[in-house]
Amino acid sequence: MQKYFMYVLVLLLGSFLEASDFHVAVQAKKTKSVPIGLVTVGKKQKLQGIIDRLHKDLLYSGQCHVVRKSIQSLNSLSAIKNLFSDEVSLALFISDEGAEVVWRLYDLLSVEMIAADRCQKREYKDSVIAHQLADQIWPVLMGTASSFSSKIAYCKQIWKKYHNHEKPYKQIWIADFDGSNAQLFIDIPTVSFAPRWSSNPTCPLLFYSENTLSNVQLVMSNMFNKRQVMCCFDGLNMQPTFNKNGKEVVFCLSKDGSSQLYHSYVDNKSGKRRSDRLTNNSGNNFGPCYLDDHHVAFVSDFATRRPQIYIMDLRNKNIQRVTDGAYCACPAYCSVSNKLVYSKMVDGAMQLCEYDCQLKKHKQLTQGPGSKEEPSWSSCGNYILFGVNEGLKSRIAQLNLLTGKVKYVTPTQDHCTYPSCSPVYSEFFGILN
Amino acid sequence: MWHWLPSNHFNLNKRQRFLLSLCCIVLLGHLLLAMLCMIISSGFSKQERFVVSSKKMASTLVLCPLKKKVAEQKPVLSKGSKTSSSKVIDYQTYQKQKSEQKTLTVQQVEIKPAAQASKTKSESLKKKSDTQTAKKPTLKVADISTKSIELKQEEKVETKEVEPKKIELAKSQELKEQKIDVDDVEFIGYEQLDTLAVQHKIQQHVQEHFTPPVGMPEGTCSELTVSITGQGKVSKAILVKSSGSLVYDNAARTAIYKTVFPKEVWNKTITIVLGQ
Repeated sequence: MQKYFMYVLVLLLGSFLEASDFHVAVQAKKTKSVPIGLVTVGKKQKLQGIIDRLHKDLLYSGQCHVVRKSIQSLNSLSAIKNLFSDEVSLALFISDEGAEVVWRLYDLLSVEMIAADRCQKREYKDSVIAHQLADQIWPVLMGTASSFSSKIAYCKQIWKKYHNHEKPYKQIWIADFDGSNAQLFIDIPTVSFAPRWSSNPTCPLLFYSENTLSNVQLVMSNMFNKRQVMCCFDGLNMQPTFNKNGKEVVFCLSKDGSSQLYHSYVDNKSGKRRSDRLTNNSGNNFGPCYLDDHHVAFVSDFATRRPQIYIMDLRNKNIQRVTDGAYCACPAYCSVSNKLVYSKMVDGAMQLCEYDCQLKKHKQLTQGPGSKEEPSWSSCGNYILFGVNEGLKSRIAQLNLLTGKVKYVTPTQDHCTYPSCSPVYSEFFGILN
Repeated sequence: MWHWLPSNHFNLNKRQRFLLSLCCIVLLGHLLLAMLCMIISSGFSKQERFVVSSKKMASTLVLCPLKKKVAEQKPVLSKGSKTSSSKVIDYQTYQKQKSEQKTLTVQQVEIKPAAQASKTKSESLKKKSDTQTAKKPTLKVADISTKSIELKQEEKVETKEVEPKKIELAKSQELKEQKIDVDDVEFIGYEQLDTLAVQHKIQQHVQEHFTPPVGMPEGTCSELTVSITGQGKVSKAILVKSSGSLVYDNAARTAIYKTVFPKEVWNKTITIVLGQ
């Protein structure tokens, strides 16, 4: 009985104490890049390349800065605590354990391990391992998705002598997410342009259009540069967009005169692949991109003389106009934020704008000189890759939506266009490694 | 009843045992009732937890001297709100301001129809004159000239009336801007005013040390329960609600540990929401 009385009294007291609690909400006045400790455990030389690249990856968003140290072994917790100054409250310990690279994240305030994981080395390059590590670590640190392992494909214009005449050609290059480690991928004596990645994470493929004497054909290439012509009708064959599972594709053909959209899918009844014409108008319809399995955004000038962005429901082919007014083109959809980014003519230059598909609101993202064209979302939804065209110069830039900063990812002297971000593939072979 | 009680230990007879058990039941009943009251009032006790979000701090606070507490405020950090010092006024000045503004709005309403009426009058007169001119072409010149003169005179008179009003309006609007925005006020009781002062102090102290990472999405916030020692330092900070970002939570925790809290909350446990 006494026990019960005690319980009752404790409960009453507890509730009294709780009632006297104090709630304060504090708003951050200033922000800064957060210091993160990066510690190499064991022999420094073994992990040098990986740590250097990981350091760059963690710095890239501008949200963190890295303080580097190295220790021989992870023996005592007190040693961990005293490794950094009070400013550093989180530390990453990277160690080489044979076929794997192991990372451990420690909270230096409470001196306890928060998270840990490992990454298989296989025969990957140091940069690939570092990107994989960064992709594992970033969501734990920041609580947001990352796309360090994704690649970017873009066109680079070069001038070559052909019968004593200099002719422009376009090559396709593939680089890391930040433009580093750029490698030539498609180099044939013609104009190869508008690369687009496949959406299947286990099967990395690159689709692009290639000028021939008679038409512009759609070509597919695997990561070992084995190419195959996918579509070779008269006129333009270009801009394929894939749904999530990669089985359905919408693309542009201009075999009947103006550019029209076509939908290729496997018919459930017959089990055969079918192609349906989606648009049937006198205007040009181009730049398709999948929103979800049933909706495609595209550009068309059939209703107004100026191209506008429309969204089509593939089930009933109903279309809904999204933009109004000035010239709008190049829609690209991000499933993470449910937003559509596109280029819009503002004061004589194309600027990037976004359309929130949920709120149905438009917002201009960029300003200033230079036409910003062909935007492409990173798979994490934090970056937008786009081409900046200023007179005769054209470069690829990346807009960081977290900080609002723009970084160029290609050198000044190169004429680069048509950027495209890949999804984060699970396999890294061929040019991806 | 209460047969299981060790009656031998107390050496009580049946009657005494009955009385004891009765007393116990009554006591237990009272305690249960008190508990029930506490549980019911826990909803009201939330009201007692005075929560200050930055937006609330920015609004004008109207002190209601006859009330302890006025309204419940939720611990919500509004998007894009900025911390600034809030103005505290008493209820009488608030009433004055409100009545002044009411009169101003009434005047505005009154002026508008007058102006409109003048317009409509002139329009109707014009129309009339047009119709008259159409009907009586011979009278055309004289009629129009006289009426147009009359109209002009009327308009002049009206403008003479409106202009000082406009000046007054502008002046009063300027005054209003200097004073308070009646729509953006919040009523507080005298107990809340004290709490508010303390909370403002805490906010300022924590804000000095709180530097979250750049580019966190709006609405990100970490909630911590903080136990404060007798010297104003933090003895324990427990993360109650994570922001989803380890870096952000750590920045919040670091800020809390660096902060020296004001005397009013020494030896107390407080809840702090650190928002973006």
